[in-house]
Amino acid sequence: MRYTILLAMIVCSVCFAQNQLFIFFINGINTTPDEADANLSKLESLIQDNDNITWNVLYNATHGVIRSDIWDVIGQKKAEKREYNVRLYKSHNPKSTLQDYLYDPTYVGKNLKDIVNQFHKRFPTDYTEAYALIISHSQGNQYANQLWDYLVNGEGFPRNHIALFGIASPADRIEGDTIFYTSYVTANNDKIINMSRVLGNGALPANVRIDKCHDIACHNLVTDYLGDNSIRSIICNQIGSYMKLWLNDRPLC
Amino acid sequence: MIKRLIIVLIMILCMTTTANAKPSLDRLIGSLDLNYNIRNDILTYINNSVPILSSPWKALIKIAQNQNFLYYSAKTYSEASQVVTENSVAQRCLNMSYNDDRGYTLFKHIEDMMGDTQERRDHIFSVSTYFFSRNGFEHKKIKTSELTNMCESGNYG
Repeated sequence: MRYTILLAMIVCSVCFAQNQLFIFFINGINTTPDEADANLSKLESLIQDNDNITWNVLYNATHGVIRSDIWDVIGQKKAEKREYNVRLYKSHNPKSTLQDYLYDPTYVGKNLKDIVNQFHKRFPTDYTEAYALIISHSQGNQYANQLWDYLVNGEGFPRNHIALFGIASPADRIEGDTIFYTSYVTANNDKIINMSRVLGNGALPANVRIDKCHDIACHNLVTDYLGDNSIRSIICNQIGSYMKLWLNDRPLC
Repeated sequence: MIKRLIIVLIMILCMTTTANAKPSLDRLIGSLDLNYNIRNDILTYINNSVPILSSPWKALIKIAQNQNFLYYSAKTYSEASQVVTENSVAQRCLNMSYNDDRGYTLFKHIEDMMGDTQERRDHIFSVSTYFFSRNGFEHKKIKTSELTNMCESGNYG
């Protein structure tokens, strides 16, 4: 009798164990905390309320657009050519010299350690029932790749518990296993990303077009990417695919 | 005699330095409406863009007040973090008020006005980096029904 109750309790706890999905947003350069949060809120509004989803920003701080952040991207793009090596991340202490940005083959972005720290603050230490989807815009994609690499290769984070989705990505890859048909959206008329193609290994090929650009560079997450019905639907469906996979739930997009 | 001269010179130097530093921050803050603690040009923009006392007006006023506090008065992480959280709620109220991107566009215009000179923009980013680069900030989990009440009451805390 006692064993039957115990068995029933174990079965019930398995039945009712509910996975949690943590969706993080990493912003690009030249973004204030309020704007990063506004971007996240717009992404969040694509999905109906769900108790099992927690949304958060991993804030990619701006250190000065011209004198620092653009060089940070250049440094990251140049360093893309090397194989990622987590030991470098741990020992690397990025400085702000031109020498660093242009010639240091081990360069990692100056905010990586802070972004890793923010992730650890907001993601449970016991990740058996927790999953992370990291959505990034612009330079955030470079950090998302580095964060994935740091967590999976450096800390043994299970790779089937984390996925990346890129928006307007200047990176040459999206780290992780591409489970679904697309893991990024980049518009062929996004002028910022098109300019970044001359750096490093270039950027992932464009796979969408924004019909009506509101921003002169056609790069704004809210007005350009989410302002386009078809792209908004791709992003919503992609989030939905991970909800289906990890929460057995699917939003209406 | 020489000692006294040196002391007077140091005093003059100190006074000049203080006099230079203070107007500099004042210049960044700009001319404020003392009732709302918002820059006059930003208040005029809000009043001209949305009906006064409407839900989006309340949200925009809160965002502008909080930004002014965050960038020019906040002393601790918890103070800074609290206003970003309030702004996050106000921002979601703005989104709720419109079916399109108008809420975001209004918010973005205020952001752009806050950082309308290179000096201001540098200051804004240096404060943001100081408070949030290492620890980030919390995005409050709010159900739509709860949010509706918060937006109607104008209580974003």
